[in-house]
Amino acid sequence: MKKKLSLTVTKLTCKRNSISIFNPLSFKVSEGQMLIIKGKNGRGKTTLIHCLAGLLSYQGLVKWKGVEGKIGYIGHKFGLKEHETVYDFIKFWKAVYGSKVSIDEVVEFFSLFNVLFSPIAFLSFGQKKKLTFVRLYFFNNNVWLLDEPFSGMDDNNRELIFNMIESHISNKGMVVLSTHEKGRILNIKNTKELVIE
Amino acid sequence: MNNLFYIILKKDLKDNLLSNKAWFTISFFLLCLIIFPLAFGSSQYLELNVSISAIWISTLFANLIALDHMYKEDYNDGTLLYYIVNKVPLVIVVYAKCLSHWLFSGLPIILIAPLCSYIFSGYNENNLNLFISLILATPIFTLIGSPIAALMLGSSLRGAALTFITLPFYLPIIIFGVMGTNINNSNINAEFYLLLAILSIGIIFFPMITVKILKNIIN
Repeated sequence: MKKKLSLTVTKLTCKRNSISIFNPLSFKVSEGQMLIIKGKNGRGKTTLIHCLAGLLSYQGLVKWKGVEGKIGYIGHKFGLKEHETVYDFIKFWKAVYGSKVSIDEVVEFFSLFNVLFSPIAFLSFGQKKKLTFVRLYFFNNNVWLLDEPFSGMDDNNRELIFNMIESHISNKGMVVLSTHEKGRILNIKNTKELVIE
Repeated sequence: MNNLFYIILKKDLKDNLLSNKAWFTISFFLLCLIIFPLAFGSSQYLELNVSISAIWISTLFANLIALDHMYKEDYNDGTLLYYIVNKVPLVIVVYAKCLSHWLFSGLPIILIAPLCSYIFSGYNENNLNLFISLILATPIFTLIGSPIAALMLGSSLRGAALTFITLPFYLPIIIFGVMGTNINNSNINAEFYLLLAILSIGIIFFPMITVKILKNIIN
């Protein structure tokens, strides 16, 4: 029987050089929900997301249930090579994921026609950031961990990301994201907030 | 798993070609080699021993130059993070990178070293031994260098520290390699067997260590 998607975190903390980055955190996120992690700079929002992604060791309990496939992750580093073209990037990750989504579909969705064969070095910060969301598009998974997904994005790209997140949540996915954004992101249904102090 | 290996290998080979790192190693090898006859200041052929030593020293430094870039770019731009989050087995990444490193820093040297030996010394009797020694030794250089290159990822003294730490581990390989190249008409090829043994163990052992180191570095 397919398990319902959920994330249960109990007294999670992360230590660097024996110093706790944040106080023990406990929360639960279910399918079709979004958790917004808020806090001032340096409070540990990125560290928390890295702990959930399995990139950092932590103390406490993180229990995932019903996760299908790999966890989608967007971080501060984009994993882009300056000398490769946008087309090469898309083709590589499509092959790594074994995705059946066509490259044409991705190009149309992300409006990459004009830059498809440009080296990534020629793209702006916002364009590079948008390109990282291509990995999520290839996924057939239900969990997204997004670290400051809106920073550096113009209005059109923000709209694109909002729509992706809303669609993902309405398809019973789960989104955990950290942001300083206000306004529209808080209007998405089934949203919880976690403030790290 | 095999498919993933070829995908990552193909990408790494393409990255090396597009970023021009591929040509840097062989160019450095030739540049380093040319210094020896210039330093001896003679228009005559070098002694055979000297030319073989020159080839080995140049191979060593060309390999060291290329080692620094093995994981640096993927670490700096976050590609390693995405491999880990997306559960791409790091062992496949490491083997692909080692093979790619050898294809650009070892194989070209293996192919042109016998010719260089003949040009510098005028002798070609030891060329087969030189060829076999390099075929065995250059992959070992890559495999030994791989965990050390991973260890240096977070260090600011990367280039210099890499050389100081790697050199002592390369010395036995160079000793066996030079001895193996210099043997003449002997049926005892103990040096080659020793290099083959080190390669056989190293091909399993060093990538596993590299994976552990990479995971700890990311952590």
